[in-house]
Amino acid sequence: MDLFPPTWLVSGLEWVQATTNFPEFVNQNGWIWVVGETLHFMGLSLLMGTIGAFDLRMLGMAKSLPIGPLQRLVPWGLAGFVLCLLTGVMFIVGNFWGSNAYFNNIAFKWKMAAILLAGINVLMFEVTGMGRAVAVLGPGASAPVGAKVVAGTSLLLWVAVIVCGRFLPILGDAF
Amino acid sequence: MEQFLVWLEESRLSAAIAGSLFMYPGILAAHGVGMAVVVGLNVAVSLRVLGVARMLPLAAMAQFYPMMWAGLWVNVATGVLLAMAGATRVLVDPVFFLKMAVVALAVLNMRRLKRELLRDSGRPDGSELPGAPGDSPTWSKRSISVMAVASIVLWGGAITLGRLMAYSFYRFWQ
Repeated sequence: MDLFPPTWLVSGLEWVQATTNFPEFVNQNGWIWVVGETLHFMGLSLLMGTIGAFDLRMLGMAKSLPIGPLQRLVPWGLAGFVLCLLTGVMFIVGNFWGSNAYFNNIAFKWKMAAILLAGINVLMFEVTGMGRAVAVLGPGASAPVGAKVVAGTSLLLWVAVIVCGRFLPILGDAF
Repeated sequence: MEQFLVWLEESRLSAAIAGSLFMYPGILAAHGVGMAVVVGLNVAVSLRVLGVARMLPLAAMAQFYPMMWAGLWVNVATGVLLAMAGATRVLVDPVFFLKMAVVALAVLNMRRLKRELLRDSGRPDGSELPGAPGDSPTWSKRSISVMAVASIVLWGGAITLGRLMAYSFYRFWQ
């Protein structure tokens, strides 16, 4: 992938490293990494639990729940995503030594791609009106096939994100 | 004891796990997915108990528990494999034993919460919010809310301790 990383991103990271010396700071204070990872895992659990519960209901689990109210849990899942985004940025900035280990990392590229696809999946869900359509479904109702496809894709993509994340330190720039 | 740990770590199963590029991180990845399922769904139920999405019938949230137990079993299985493959490092780590204690408490709390959710599930008027008039005294809003908060705190603690297991720089006792 020659588009990635874009030059503006690399320049930005170089500037941050030169100005704040953040990577050095992280290197000397290991606890930052532990706190960051812990928060990252908590964020992903929040995301999987709330958005996952919504997806699972659409796929037919816990059928006596009305679907609409479950959507009210989703903002918490988004908060979890934001937490992951913030800690993720901290990992990248804190690990930038001239070039960044993440950018040459195949697992990182796949992870970002999966997140992008998950975002597109959600966008499709809302833009096509599926979100509004399922919101009125009550206890015992089945979601339409399109919604089930979106739900299944969502679950698969987020699991893929977790797995890719787990392989970040392993694959590195191996490929 | 030390010999037993070495034996565990050098067993063929452990060697198979440690020897392959993908086995150990694969098992860790499954452990992570299990964690997301168990902690995530527990937090979702806790959020409902604490008042988010009040239109969701409380007792019906119990239907997510089978998925939670599935996640828990995945983590028990992967956890055993991980502990075996790193026996000389894991089974002497006080952080690991603390994590096990916290997980045990979290699971006990999970079971109690589920019992409370189902306790008044046969109500004809559909009012299932804790603290509604005519509640049986056993289902007090306070006790179920305490369990919901405890769930979040305990599982958060398990995640934190799990992460701490990977680092040793803070272990002043070694």
